[in-house]
Amino acid sequence: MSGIALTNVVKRFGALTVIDKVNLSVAEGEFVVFVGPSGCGKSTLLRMIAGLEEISDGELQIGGERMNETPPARRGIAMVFQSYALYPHMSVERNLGFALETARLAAGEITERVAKVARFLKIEHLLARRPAQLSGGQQQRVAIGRALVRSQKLFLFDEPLSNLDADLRMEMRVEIARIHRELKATTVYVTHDQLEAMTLADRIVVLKDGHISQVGTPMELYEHPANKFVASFIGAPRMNFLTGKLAIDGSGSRLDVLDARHGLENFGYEGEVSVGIRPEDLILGGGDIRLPASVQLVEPLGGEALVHARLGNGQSLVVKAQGKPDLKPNADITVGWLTSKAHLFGADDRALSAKGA
Amino acid sequence: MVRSNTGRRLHRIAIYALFGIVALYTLFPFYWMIASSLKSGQAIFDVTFLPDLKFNNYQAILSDGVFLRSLLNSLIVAFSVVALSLLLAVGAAYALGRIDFRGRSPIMLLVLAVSMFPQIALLSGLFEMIRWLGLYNTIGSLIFAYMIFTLPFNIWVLTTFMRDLPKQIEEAAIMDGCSPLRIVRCIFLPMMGPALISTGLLAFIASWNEFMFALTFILTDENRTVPVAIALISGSSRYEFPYGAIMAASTIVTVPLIVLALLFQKHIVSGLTAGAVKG
Ligand SMILES: Nc1ncnc2c1ncn2[C@@H]1O[C@H](COP(=O)(O)OP(=O)(O)OP(=O)(O)O)[C@@H](O)[C@H]1O
Ligand SMILES: [Mg+2]
Repeated sequence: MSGIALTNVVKRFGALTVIDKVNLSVAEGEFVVFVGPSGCGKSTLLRMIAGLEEISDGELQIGGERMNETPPARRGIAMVFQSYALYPHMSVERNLGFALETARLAAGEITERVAKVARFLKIEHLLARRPAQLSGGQQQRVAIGRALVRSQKLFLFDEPLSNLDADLRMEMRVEIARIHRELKATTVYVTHDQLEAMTLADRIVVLKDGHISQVGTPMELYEHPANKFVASFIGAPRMNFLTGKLAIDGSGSRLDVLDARHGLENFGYEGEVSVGIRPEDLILGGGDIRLPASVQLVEPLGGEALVHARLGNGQSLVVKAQGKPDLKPNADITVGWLTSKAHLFGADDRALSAKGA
Repeated sequence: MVRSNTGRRLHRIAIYALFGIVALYTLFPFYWMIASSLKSGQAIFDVTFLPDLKFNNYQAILSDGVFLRSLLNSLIVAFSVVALSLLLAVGAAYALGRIDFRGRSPIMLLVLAVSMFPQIALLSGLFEMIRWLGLYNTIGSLIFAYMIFTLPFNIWVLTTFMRDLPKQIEEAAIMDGCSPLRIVRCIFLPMMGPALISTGLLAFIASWNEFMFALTFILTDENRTVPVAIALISGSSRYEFPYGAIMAASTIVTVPLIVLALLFQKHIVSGLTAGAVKG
């Protein structure tokens, strides 16, 4: 009984509307990740679920019950903060047990539950220390432990890993995935790291300027972004965008990009479009549509390389090529792609799809 | 910059000399007080720098019931003032530092303004209030009066301190199910230890040394506090001024302050600078 349902939820700070009529439901046991650029309202939405921020309008249900007016502690939620927010004057053990102490559990039971969580997170040897005597990763573990110890059914994370360095971030990401696999608690996780979002999420919610841009599984968002914003936000390196022209041609459509053209299925759309192609879908010297380009820079990544190429009109493209392409700067190449792999976006930035396919 | 050996030595000598002068300047009155208190009878009027180590002034003053009583009164007043003003100031600081409400800055300015009134300006008004409350000639009057100058300062310092405590820690405590009272008691107070100690100590010193209110609001010997009691120590005849006894009493009175200051010296500095720098 820990699913979440948001109905037309609004948050205003004075005259400023920060969250605008958001509708979302999170199933029990699901891992949902909020992503979006800075200031889009991820934290605010999470804090409204937590009860740390009042809901200006709309309804929040948790486990089928209206929670708008319920104080945070009675929503059955545990939260992990970006800054860890450990109590600096308490030992790790007391930090972990403090919520249970507040709930007036018997001392024996507190010790037992703290010990269990400490074992689960492998922080038993740290119990006697103060937060200041821990490394960043250890502090993050304690912060997660503090959330786990209350055995709530709903976890909220606000950018829990953004203060860690890359190695630790990966380690903790795996740890969080393990915790979710073993406890199956409903989880809402805020991040601006799309890699975290792709690897952890059952479903990703992409937010933009206070409203939901798209919701879906990581693969859905990757393969079928609903708009240009989601397309450029999900996937790294970023999707390349070229300007093209779509015209109706007999029973199909025709796409013009620079000097190249190719027939497509009927999109029922005429006019200027953005053609989005992911770096991994660009082909050196192949594809349905090919464009001449010159090499700017090759960044070898080991097994693959990023080739930065410049088109005749001065626009840059990033190509992800397998192996170690033998290309010198300023070499002339052709860059192409299969039209089936390209994403087309209309003037309103929404994805276009073929009719009756 | 490379300095010659003699240059460095001169530099060091200069520093020690300066240090010596400052130490002499600040400590000599204390030394004189203690040395005088250890001389007996007429010896006090001889200018000798070495004490006699005679303790009869202390015997006399410690067997004086009025003085002992005033010492007890002072302790009661000072500790009550510290306890009450810290309690009230923490409450006020939580409201002023952590809760957003209209009129917060005017209140802060008012608090600051109140702490700037000269004591003498308050005297007659306070006197009326104390009479009206029926506190005249009780140590309650002093506890009441001293809060007038300890509270604004404590509120001001604790508010700046409380305001700078991290918001996420408070929110973590809220998620852990804490009431505001429990947040203040179990999370904020321990984190504010240094600030509490320094403000408490300053309140203690202020009430311990206060003279004018103590002279005005107390009528009879058994309710007096130490500063007034010392001023009123008189000799066995009109023509004898009991310097020795006064010095001994003053020394005794200084001891608690020194003990407290030494006990908490580390916290005093960190508390005052924390409030000042971040504020
Ligand atoms: N207390 C507040 N008063 C006024 N505006 C606020 C307040 N809190 C947040 N905002 C505004 O709400 C918007 C969303 O803020 P929020 O913190 O949710 O962003 P975010 O998506 O979490 O960004 P980030 O990735 O930087 O953490 C921002 O424009 C911010 O300025
Ligand atoms: Mg945020």
